[in-house]
Amino acid sequence: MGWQKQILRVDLTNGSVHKEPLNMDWAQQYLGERGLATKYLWELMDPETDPMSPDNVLIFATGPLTGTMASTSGRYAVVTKGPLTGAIACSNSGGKFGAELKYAGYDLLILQGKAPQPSYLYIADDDVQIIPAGDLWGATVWRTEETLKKIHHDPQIKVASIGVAGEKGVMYACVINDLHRAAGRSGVGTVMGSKNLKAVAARGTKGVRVEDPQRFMELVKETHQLLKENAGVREMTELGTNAMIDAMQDFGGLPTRNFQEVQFEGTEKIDPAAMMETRPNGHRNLVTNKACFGCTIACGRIAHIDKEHFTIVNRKEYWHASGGLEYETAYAFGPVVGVDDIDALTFASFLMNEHGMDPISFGVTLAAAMELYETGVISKQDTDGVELNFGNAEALTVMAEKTGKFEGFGQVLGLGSKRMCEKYGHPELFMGVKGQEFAGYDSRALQGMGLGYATSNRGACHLKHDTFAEDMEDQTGKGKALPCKETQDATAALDSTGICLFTAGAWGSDNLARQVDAACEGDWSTERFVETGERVWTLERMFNLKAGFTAKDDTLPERMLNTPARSGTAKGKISELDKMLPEYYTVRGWNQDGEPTEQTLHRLGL
Amino acid sequence: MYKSLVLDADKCTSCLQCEMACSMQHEGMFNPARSRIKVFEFEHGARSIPYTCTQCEEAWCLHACPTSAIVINQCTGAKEVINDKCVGCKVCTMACPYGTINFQASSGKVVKCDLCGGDPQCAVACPTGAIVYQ
Amino acid sequence: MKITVKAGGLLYEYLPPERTANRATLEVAEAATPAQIMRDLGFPADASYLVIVNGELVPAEQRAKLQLADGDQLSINPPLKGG
Repeated sequence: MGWQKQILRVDLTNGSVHKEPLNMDWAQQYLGERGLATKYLWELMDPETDPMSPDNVLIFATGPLTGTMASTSGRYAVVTKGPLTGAIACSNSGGKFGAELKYAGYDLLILQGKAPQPSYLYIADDDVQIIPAGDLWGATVWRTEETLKKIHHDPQIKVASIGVAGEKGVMYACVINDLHRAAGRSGVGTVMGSKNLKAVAARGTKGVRVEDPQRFMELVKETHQLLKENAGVREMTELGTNAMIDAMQDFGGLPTRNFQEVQFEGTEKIDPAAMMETRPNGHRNLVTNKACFGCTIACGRIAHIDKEHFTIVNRKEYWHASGGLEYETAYAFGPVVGVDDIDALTFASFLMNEHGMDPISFGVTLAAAMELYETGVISKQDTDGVELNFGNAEALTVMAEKTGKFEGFGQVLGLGSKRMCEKYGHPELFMGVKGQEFAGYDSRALQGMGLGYATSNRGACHLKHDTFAEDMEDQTGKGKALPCKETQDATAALDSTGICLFTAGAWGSDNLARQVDAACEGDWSTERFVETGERVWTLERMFNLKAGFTAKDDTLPERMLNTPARSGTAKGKISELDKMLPEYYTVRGWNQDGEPTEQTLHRLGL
Repeated sequence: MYKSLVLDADKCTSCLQCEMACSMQHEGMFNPARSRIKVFEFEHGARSIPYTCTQCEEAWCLHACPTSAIVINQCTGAKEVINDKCVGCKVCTMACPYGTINFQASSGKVVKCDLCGGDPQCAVACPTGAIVYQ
Repeated sequence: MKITVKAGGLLYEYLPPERTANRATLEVAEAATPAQIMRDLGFPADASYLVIVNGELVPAEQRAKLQLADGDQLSINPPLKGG
């Protein structure tokens, strides 16, 4: 158990809906969520498929621990071929939708083809319907969720949907669930839009059972306690993930003004203390913290914008609270575009959720556009008359809205940084890997992070490995390859359970393996669990190799490799990727062309 | 004085651990749809409010029941449904002013909070102290 | 001698009551090391920290060796992590 042992397959082209037994051999090899979805994707589609074609496959996947009392058990992953990158895309999200999909009785929802007209999928346990979207096509994420609850007379329905950005092809559109939780990266929402699918509305009443309830509940008690006692977890609860911004500023790894600098003078205006400060007019940015399903950490922030602020002074519809700043949003609307106006950042955050866009990709694309503007490559004639200077808060919010609605220069920003920079003849200004923009960590200050970015299977990503401890101790490329590889595998295993990565500071793979073992049949030792992660990682790599990627794509922008950091603890340093990468391939059991050897594939049963 | 479940909305993060713990206790599985305690969310999650039976002193559900299927547990003061006596007529669900006794289609009976016999699992599971049994 | 200490995240809780937000000026012994100062302030010894002095990273094994000078700026942050 743990698994529902049933998957839902929907062919949108001909409107057919099939419930099939979960392939338990695959479940035993790939566990669930990220891993299992990767296996299904591998079996169901040719990796060379155009990501925007109906032949791309879009999978919503829960894990065996999703919907259980294991803390943070609300996760589901959206796995597909990403249009932003052309690589395998794997974006996971919290909120309550994932657990609801599982309670409806499905481990995976597999969407194929393209609906002949804009539609949404309604799932209430066994009742599954493809319903014309009507007026919902063109609606925001927020209106879509509200409307679907009304149409189906059920406020308990959980909704995952796309905004106009996803409908019209912004390359980094998200799938947003529960108003402000996002399967954010690589354009998984863009794929959903290309399938004419506006939303998935789920209601589940079947519950989830575990193999050994008594042992599972003992482990729940033990692992909840581990989280409670962990200082890093307490920090996430009390300050949110944005606690990172002050440390990153001190460290000098905070990408600023399209990575031209690594420290930002306005950090203290957008950090957690600024979020919690009560202003002279009585306004306080932070309203409360908020948990995703099953989460005993509750790092999420609910914030509101000062009603007197220029962004919403005449727009009452934004006078309510919603998802506030997290570290990556603070970075992507703050330092990297040079803006320090916390209300503008919060408004941009609202707009991302409302229209369904990845804040990291949007912010870093805007940063590149600002650099193009300041160097005179583009002018006000290109930008709808907006002065696109670094630090312009109005430019941030105006462009966020234009991109969300796919209007004017927003259509250019919707290309993502790589395509936009190429369009204007300056590919070197794209700050990312494999077409996907960097998160808020500079590869010159955090060497292991640079290696992780370069080798992440979904393009630049900070969530697929964890070498923070090594990066804090030593700013050379030495000794980064092995921990990078090992944490990539451990993270891939974690991402295959239905659990959130933010448990990783308090739980090791052993804590996870024991919970999986108590929930599922099969003997899940820690070794087997971690090897599952390595299998998942390697299969993702195989997908990318078949899609046309080579070792040449495991690289960083020239700015990281040749332009030394200007300040901070890494002043004068560049990324030592050239030293780390060969060692990484070796510890992975790959050849120097970045291809897994026969021996490695055999060892992993691939 | 009996102990009671004290619910503090200011501390609730809407994690639903309480709903899962409740359903595990009573149904042997994690299933918020069958939980006796519910958390309601408002304004994009700015307010989360846990809500369950108050174990009214003057319990209308108990008085309304035509088969005397609802009785008072003398140890806890909880108003408990005796499954064998419940005929699923739903009169109690109409009598309850709070909507915290509900018909369950799968069993054909009504369900309500029984304070888990004096060790309410929702309070045990709550990570923030939003549900305290005191 | 006097040094200034900045403590990131929730670590400000270890600074003396006269702190301003997450900063404090401390009177410490001549040639005190970051490790001594952190011990005196009560930072748990078994936890991991990011320690920076005057903008330079101080790895764990250097923290008991590096001697601070008057006017130095010591910044102590919780470990870096993803998010």
